[in-house]
Amino acid sequence: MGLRVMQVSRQLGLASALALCALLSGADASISEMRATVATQAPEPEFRLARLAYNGNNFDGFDRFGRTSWTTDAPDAEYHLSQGIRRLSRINTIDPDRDEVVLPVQPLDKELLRYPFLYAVEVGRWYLDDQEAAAMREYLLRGGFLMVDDFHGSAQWQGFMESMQRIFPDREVVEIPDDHEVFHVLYDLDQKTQIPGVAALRSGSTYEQDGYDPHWRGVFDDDGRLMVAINFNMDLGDAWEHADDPGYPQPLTALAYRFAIGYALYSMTH
Amino acid sequence: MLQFLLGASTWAFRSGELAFGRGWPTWLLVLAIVLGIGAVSFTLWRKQLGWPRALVIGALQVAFLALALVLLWRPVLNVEQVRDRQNVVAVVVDDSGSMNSADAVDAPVRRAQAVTALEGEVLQQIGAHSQVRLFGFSDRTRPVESLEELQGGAASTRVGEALDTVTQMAASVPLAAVVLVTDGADTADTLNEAALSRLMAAGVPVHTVGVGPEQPQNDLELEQLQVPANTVAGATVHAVVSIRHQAQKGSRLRIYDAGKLIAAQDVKFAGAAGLTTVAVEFPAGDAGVRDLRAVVDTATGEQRTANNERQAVMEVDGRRRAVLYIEGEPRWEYKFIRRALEGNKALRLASAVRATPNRFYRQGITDPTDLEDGFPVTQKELFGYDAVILGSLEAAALSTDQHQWLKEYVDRRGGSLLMLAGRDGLGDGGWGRVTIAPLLPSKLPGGTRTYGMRTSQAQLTAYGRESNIGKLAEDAAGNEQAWKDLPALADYQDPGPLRPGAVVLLEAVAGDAAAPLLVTQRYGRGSTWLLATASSWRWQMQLPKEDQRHETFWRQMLLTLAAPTPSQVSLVPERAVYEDDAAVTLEAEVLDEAFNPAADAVLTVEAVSESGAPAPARIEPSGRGDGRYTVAVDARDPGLYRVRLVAAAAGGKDSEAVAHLRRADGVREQFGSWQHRPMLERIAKDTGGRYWSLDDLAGLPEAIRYSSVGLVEHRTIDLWNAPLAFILLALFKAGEWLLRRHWRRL
Repeated sequence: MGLRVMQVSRQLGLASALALCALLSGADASISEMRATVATQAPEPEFRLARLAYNGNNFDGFDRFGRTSWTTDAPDAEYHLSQGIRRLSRINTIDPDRDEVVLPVQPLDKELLRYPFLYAVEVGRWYLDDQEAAAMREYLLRGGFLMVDDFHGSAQWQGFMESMQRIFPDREVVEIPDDHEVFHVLYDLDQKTQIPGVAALRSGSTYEQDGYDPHWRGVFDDDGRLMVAINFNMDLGDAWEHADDPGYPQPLTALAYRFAIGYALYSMTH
Repeated sequence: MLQFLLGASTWAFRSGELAFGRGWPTWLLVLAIVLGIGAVSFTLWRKQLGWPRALVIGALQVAFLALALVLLWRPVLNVEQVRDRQNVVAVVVDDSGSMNSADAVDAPVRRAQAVTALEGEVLQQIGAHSQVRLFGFSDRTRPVESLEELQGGAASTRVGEALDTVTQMAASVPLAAVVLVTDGADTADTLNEAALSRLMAAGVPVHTVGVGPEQPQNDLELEQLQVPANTVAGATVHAVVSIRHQAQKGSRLRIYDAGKLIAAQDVKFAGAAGLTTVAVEFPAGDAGVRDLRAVVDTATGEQRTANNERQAVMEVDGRRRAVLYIEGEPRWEYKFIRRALEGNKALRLASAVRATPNRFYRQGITDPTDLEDGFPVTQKELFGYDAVILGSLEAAALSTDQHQWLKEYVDRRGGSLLMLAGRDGLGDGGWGRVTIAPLLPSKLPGGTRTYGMRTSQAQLTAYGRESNIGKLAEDAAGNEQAWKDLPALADYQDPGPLRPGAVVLLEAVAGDAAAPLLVTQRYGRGSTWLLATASSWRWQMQLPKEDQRHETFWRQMLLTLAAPTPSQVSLVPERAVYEDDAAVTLEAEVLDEAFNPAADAVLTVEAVSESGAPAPARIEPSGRGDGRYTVAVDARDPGLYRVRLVAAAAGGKDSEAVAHLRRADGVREQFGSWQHRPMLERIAKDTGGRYWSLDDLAGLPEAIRYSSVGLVEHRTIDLWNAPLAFILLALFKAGEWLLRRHWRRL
């Protein structure tokens, strides 16, 4: 009887040990699986210049569902700018020779929430309906940042504001003061030079339509943080796009890079 | 009756030894019995009675023969017995406050019950053979002439001390036994293992007499109110409250700060009777002292209500904790951590993010020169922070000195270090090969790519559920759901194998796989933490703007890291509430600016009672040169005391620490006042005595009489003439006769 009890005890002990080993090896396998996946999937670039793919507002022949002003300057603007950001800062962004250069996102696309920095071009022609405006409002209030560019003159301002007021009916668009942090995060951007589009430049001027003076305007959140950076009567996109064009002044390209890096750094620190 | 039949008392049988007084050899008795069995068997076999009947008749005849033979050998009982009138018996009666309580309506108080039971025949019978000395005990032990002198109502019960005092009499008088009459609630913690060992060594049997019910009747008792001794302004306090209950279904718990209600919640009791523990959260409020009182509603018909409340004192530190965050590259995680702490009164985040290879962008600094080079340039500057976060920053970015400072920051300064995942963080940043590597909760892998994309869900472990960091919702079920509903994390970094002392608070779960996500361990005076992700910012971007889970997580995380970091001068009372004890003790530590023991500091201490009257206070160094001191305050009056310690360092500025504590009288006796029978039984068992209930003391005098301690005499009691023996002989024969008659085989 005693021998039988000892045999059963030994069998139970062996079974317990095997079960424990299986449990532990299972746990190890679980961790190993996580490690193996991590080792094969390199980290994504931290910063992506997402491009807002909006519908047109029928301004100047750009209808709501036809021609696409949001693609202006793509992909060369992103190509050059990402190289500039990589060269001049520690921001980890795409390698344009390796990664997909243009990242279009629509206002209602949930993917938008993965990219806290958003670029919208030719916003004098954009149209956001109520649903899209609400999505943009939510995106910005959660911590997203919108930089708009390449729109000129009072008519396009009106086109821009029509949708902007739909996003923030109760917030004012104000001039960003010169001493605001966004102009001093890395570079001291005290020199407010109008950055022209290439077409205007070739015609011998720095402005388009009646947009004679450049304006750096913004919309702020309740804590005084800049949410929307508005480059009015300017075309930073052209300055990036034509960075390799000998006809486009290098100092203006350099300044456009500096503004972009300033916006990016500000958005990643505030 | 039993004593008459046996020829001696049962206590004589318990303590004595059986023997044969004739002097004949015992083997001869055994042989005679065996021969008798043989003779009986042979006789019955010849009469052919049949097996069953022969067996019964044979058993009766053998029993008769064996008993008669045993009586011929003259059985005796050798006993030790206290000499009459030459020994002392100490009767020690509990005279504390709990003995003044009645356990039912119109019932006499416990002390009166005890006196009545003893003053009947018990003391008289003990006194017939020994000299009885009476003692009363509560917070002190004193001799009394009569039990009528006992008045009850003293503030504490020192059972261990009373037994110590009384058993010391054995050195000068022949102490035969101690009779301890009590409800057994030692409220001053004098009845510990050391006291029991001393009691056993004294060798005096202690007979314990239990008074009062063994279970409280229809009573709610707020057994414990546990709050942290210190917290920071603006933090959420997690209090633990334990309520002992009987059959009640539940009650309502309220917490007051200086009379102002700050928290209330309904408590459901688990089971019929037992202890239910609940967690209560309330805001710490502004800097200052929180004079807390937790109260549980009175149950229907509850008589004892003084034990329905408990007090506690908590210091709320107004010093805003400084957190240093160094980030090696601009990252969204950095942005959203900063946003989570913006405007926080309890935490100040000073940060530097490396914007370009040569320039750091700094935020939250207090001096324009702070963090110019992206990291503190002196040890003193680093030691000024309460917690440090290192992001995606390679180890090579710091100098050898800075690595050494970081090690000492955790080990000696007592700071908290949190390391975040990143392409230059943890193992990929070379942190597994530098000075602080042994301090970290895991052995960081080196030389491999450990950081990458991996979708996973953050999930609390059992430790995480207990931690303040893991509390995103008030109730447990809501909290589980709050974590379950969080958006997925996007990245993961392998922290490597965990060290034996590591504690995992969060896991990253992907399918069936789970891996450590938030890990910590203590090291020296501080702690180190690893967070194996840098994508918690997605919680903020992918949840509605009103959702506060991301902010809450980071606020609680950094408060947990920064709050316990010690100051240069600290002063902590051993207990926040001193109940019925005027000897208040506080522990102090005084360090210099480098957080080394301040050898040359001149210390002054002052204590002030609630009424503004100064209380005598003195300070004693530990004698080990470690900057530690003991502050003793004589706090005689009840109320809230403020104790202030000022350290004046030579050539430096004065530092001070302030602590509050509460003195209360008449509290201890209100709690745990039912009879603690297991303890009384253990005292009796360990000392050779016996536990007695109050309504069954008849055997006590006889038990004491047969004590083997004191002046004793040896006695031999004859048992051959015990009536029981002759009755049995007669019964055996009568039984045989009746059976034979019944079977008609006479």
